[in-house]
Amino acid sequence: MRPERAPRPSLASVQAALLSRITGQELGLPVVGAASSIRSDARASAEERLAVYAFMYRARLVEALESQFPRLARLLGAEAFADLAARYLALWPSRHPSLREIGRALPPWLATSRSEAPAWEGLASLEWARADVYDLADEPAMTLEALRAFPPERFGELPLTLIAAHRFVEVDRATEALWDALAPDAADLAGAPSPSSEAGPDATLLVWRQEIAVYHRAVDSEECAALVLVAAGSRFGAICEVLSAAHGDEIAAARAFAWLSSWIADGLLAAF
Amino acid sequence: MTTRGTTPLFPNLGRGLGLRREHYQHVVENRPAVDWFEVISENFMGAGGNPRRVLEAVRRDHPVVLHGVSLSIGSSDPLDQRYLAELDALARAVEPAWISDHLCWGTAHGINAHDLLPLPYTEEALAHVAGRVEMVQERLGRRILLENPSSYLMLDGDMAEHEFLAELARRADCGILLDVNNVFVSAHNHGWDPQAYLAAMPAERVGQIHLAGHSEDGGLLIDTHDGYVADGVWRLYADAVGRFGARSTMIEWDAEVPAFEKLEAELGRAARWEKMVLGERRHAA
Repeated sequence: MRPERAPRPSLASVQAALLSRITGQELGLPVVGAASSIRSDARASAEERLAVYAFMYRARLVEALESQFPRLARLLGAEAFADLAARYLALWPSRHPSLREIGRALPPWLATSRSEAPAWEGLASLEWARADVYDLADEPAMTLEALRAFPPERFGELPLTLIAAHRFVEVDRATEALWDALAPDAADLAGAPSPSSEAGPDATLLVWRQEIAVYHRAVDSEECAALVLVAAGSRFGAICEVLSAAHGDEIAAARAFAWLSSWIADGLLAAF
Repeated sequence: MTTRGTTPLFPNLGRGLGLRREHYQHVVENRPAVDWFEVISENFMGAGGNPRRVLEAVRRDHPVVLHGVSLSIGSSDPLDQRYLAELDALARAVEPAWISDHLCWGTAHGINAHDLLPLPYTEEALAHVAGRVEMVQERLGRRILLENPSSYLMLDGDMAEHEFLAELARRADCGILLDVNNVFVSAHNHGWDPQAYLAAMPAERVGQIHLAGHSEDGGLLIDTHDGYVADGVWRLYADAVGRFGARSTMIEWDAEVPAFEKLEAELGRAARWEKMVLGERRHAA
């Protein structure tokens, strides 16, 4: 009598075993020997064949992260960035069909991980915010023509809403200078400032997309508060009232109209 | 043996290229004389910004086909309905000639390897994948094509990959995107007969052909898409044209991407092979 062959593992268990070996993820269930279902031959063993996939997995995801955090990668260098990416991916493997989402958790992970340098969080947050707005839905922006056509006597009721393709990023004060120093055309990194490793965020950057270009700039606390109101959907009169309480009517009106003008020029306001 | 007289389920668009980021500006500004473009679906699922504008501009001048890498049709995980909704929305906006993805899986327990992992070619997997293809086609309201992947490992199964793919196409009523380079690479890596692979394909279901470069690593060939199409792949392409006739054919070149003119020149080689094979056939007739 020939011994009975062991039953073939199910499709689900084969896939769990293979994915676990390729990604290094524990999937929380007993894993059948991944290599036992893989055929070996003279060209390569089952282990060597698995290693091809494991190598490509890491290379592909590190490359995707590098494309989303190019300045952080430049700052750390290729090897250190790949190591950082591997530590991140071990905790935050991809759970989305698109690699577009792979870097979403990297900034908060940097900020909260005790073993990583939280000082890089500002740079990473800025890079992620820029990547995140890059392909969000287009929407018509408010124009000066539309503003001029709005009845002046009802200006206080002018509806203000920020376009969806914007983000507020709280960063270390050194982040902006670090960003500039790490530009692709910057000659060397010798002059790159060091981010503070002790202080919390002390600057707010506004990131947004106008047409196809992505921009960011620092906003002071007063403009930031106004923009937060606008992001939630506000009216021009409400912005004026806040300013008026702090500065009086004359200064408030001048400042509110200056903001409105620059927000429209930057394509920050959605059409009404 | 040839399969003259079979009517393909998909129109012959001619010769196309993959639309890659490195060539966005060139293609939009110069409107090159390429018959059609293939785009990676996932790269254009964002609803706005530069990628969508480029796609709209290209679509105004050329037929476009959508080629996905994340459908994970063979996975044991449930089909990702959000992904299908985004793919459907993209298809409605772009009106592609067709939508394709790969005969593979990439997710398990919700974790995505972002790879085209090979299936065990078993009866269990065949029934599983056929049912999912039917669900996807129902959701998208159209017949899809599935591409044979390059693979570096082979799992215990009941049948060969070409038998699995051919039976799947018949059972689920879907098309086949025949990647000739992948046939060449996998045949080398597993000791398959590439001619037997081509012979098993139901000709009328082969709607598109991929060509690409590969590289060698140890004893295995790797589907790197980083260079010229290898001589052996061109010969296999000629065999495929002989069997299936002219099919929408494109070159994939995704790493170390060269100037657009080089891609056009490589596409010209495909045209010459096709002309030679079909010209010989006419003489023989």
